[in-house]
Amino acid sequence: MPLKDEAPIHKAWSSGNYDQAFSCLIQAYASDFYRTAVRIVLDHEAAQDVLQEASIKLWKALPQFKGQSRFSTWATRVVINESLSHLRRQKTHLDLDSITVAAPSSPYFESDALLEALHDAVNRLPEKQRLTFQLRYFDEKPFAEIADLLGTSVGGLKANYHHAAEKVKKHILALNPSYSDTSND
Amino acid sequence: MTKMKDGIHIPKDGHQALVQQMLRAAEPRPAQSLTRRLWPYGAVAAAASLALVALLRPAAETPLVTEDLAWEALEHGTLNLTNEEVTSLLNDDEFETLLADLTQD
Repeated sequence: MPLKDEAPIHKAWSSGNYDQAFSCLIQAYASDFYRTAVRIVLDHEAAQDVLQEASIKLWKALPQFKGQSRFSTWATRVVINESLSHLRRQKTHLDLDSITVAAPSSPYFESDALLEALHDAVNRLPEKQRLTFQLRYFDEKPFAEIADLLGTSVGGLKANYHHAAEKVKKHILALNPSYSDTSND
Repeated sequence: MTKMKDGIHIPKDGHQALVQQMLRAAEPRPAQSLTRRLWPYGAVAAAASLALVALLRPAAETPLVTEDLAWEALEHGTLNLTNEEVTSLLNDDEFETLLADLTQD
């Protein structure tokens, strides 16, 4: 997925026009933030709540942004953290590892049997593997950016992704061996 | 619309709806931001004013002006003071006048 031009955000931010920078950021990435959130919380309304909370946090933190990463990386980290917090607030005695919902419940999710199976497999992964797989496979983010997002090493991530991909492949093939013809990653 | 590998496809109007929701969520920000930006200056001004009043009254003790009190004055326009704070802000004559006012039927 090609990187979006963040020059307008940077220009507004560096001149202290945080309103403008915030608007540009949201305009550029709202859908990406939603996709990230709904894949974690697995529910449209919950994802919207997450985005609202994340929006407030992003706005408050924007003047303190240190510029050490892309705006999208920094903001996605906020969205992921808010999604995980939301999930844990909803299920205080459970964690992400115990979620067994097959696929996101969202009007924007265009489901088919293979996608259902894919999400089912992904949602069975441990939290770190699940996030790594989603960011790498679905979003095609570079490992370096995922490492920045999840606060881990690139080496560890690659191992995580490898294990995750193996598990996903095995799960999908167990559901239906004919999927081996369509699996390409 | 680009096809996404996760099957989550957000059309343009869906994207705009999300944008509006996120912008609305942070909508009270101009007021918050203005308050946030002005509060240190306001607090300093309030604290300086109180300190000046105290300095102009040689008989009075150094007032107990804290950042909290200054902020309260700025935010509400009034101050809730403890007995100790009141006595530190008033000289003997003023304190007696206040007591007389309070005990007057």
